[in-house]
Amino acid sequence: MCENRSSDSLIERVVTLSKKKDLTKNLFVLSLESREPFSRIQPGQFVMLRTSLGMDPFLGRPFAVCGTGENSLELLVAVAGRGTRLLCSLPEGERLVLRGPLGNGFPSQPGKRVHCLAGTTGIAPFLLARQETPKIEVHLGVPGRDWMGLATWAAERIPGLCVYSEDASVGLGGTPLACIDQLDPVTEVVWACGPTGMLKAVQAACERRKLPCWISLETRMACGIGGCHGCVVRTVTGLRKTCTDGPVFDSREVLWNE
Amino acid sequence: MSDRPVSSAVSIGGVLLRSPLIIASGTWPHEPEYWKDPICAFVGAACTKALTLHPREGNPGIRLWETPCGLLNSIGLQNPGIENFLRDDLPNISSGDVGVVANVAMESEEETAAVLSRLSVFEERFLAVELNISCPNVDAGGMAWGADPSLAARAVELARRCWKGPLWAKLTPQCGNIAEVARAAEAAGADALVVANTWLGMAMDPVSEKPVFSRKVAGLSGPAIFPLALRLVWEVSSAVQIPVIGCGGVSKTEDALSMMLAGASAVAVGTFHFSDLGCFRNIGRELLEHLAAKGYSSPMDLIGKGKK
Repeated sequence: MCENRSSDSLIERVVTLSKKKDLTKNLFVLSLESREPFSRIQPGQFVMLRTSLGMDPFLGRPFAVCGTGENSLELLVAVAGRGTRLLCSLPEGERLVLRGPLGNGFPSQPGKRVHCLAGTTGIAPFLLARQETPKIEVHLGVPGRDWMGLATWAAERIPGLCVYSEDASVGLGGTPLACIDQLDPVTEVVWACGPTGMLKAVQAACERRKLPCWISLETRMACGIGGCHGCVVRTVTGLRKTCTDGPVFDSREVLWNE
Repeated sequence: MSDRPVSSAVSIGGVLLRSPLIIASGTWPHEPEYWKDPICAFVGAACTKALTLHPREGNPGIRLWETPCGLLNSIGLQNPGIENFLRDDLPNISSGDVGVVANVAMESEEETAAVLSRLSVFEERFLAVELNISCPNVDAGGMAWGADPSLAARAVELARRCWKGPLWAKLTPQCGNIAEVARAAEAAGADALVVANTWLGMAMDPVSEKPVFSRKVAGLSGPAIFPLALRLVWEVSSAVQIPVIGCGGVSKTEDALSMMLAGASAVAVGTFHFSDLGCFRNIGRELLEHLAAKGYSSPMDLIGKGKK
């Protein structure tokens, strides 16, 4: 794709992979540069990223933004399939096509203390949140020692980061949910992002404590702009599109897809 | 070579479009900004999600499955129902820069008649109705309305009675002889035919050892199906006198040109814009450049040229 074929529609642009940092096996931080500045990106908003090479795979992949500059942004990308494998295999300097920022991020919480609970790459939006609001507390859970690279990198960016692993091989033993019992439902609020199983556990724990809680969902997605209806999730107000109604939802609303 | 200026406008059975590029049904947000320039700058018309009489939740479970150069979908016609559409969506999308084509899912005859009669109240807001006859006819054992010439004719006749404006019939590839279905739809009063809809496919999950989709089968779209759709455009446009709109797997200028050379008067793009919103502008510009280089004054000069 040549430069003048970049999409000048409002939400799509060609970006350059300016830096690729290998955090641990199959986990990368991709830094992307754009000629035009990005509008303000809320923590929890996402982009769809695809290569400009060929058509297989041809759909973009959704990633929460984990860092921004005026003309740049960073994504935390774990290799999960052929799309992410291809994205992570590209050399620096490669041009990619980015759609976004998309969706609704975590709502601002004036006067409340925010506790962010992340499962592995679910820390992405909270890295961005901390970039803007240093008072936010972040708790990261990882499966074990294989994820040390993520924990170390994230701790450099988030002083005071609490890291947990089930076997205590990285940080404390346990999960980020451990903090929920200590939180005050009146003055504190939970934001969570991670695997669905973790989000369900966070939802249940916060419901028990009557803690306000917002969760960022991850679903299969094709367009990211509300066209395909492929990413819907069942909520108390009916089916909602993860891409445009979310990806961040009040946890009390989410009924999942069972 | 001609010095005449090149116009991108085309006429589809009397409906004038500023561009031969149409946004395929079921793929485009009903949000107002998506029905305006610059996103729609090179688009001649955009189709709504399939509309039904009552709201539909669509299918449970996984709805999307990417395949090599393609996408299986099992959305299940999720839509707000005709009344909510007319109240909440139509005011937003019909005040944009691109014409609205109302895609109507062929349900029972009573339900479809009711939808069309409600749309008729707002007839001036629509360029056309696109009747989706890929849907099952519950009274005929679930066979798709478009699977059989007599069923297709019955569906189109009904729509013709209930909707006086331009009527397009969107055919399904899941039929025995699409040329016969096309001729039946033409005889029943369709003003144009959209060729075609998704191909039924399937995906299996080796981990769960079950089909991926709750309904087992799903519709395949995307660049993978382009040659299949092109063949149907060729066959159908050879069988009927009314205009044909090529729909299936179009992702680049060569595809749009090929559809028109095979007999299409316009070309719909659906799945591909999921990954490239700039495709309309790129195809639209390159189409004009191609026409100018070839000395044509209109995309209509291309229609069916590959058959001559």
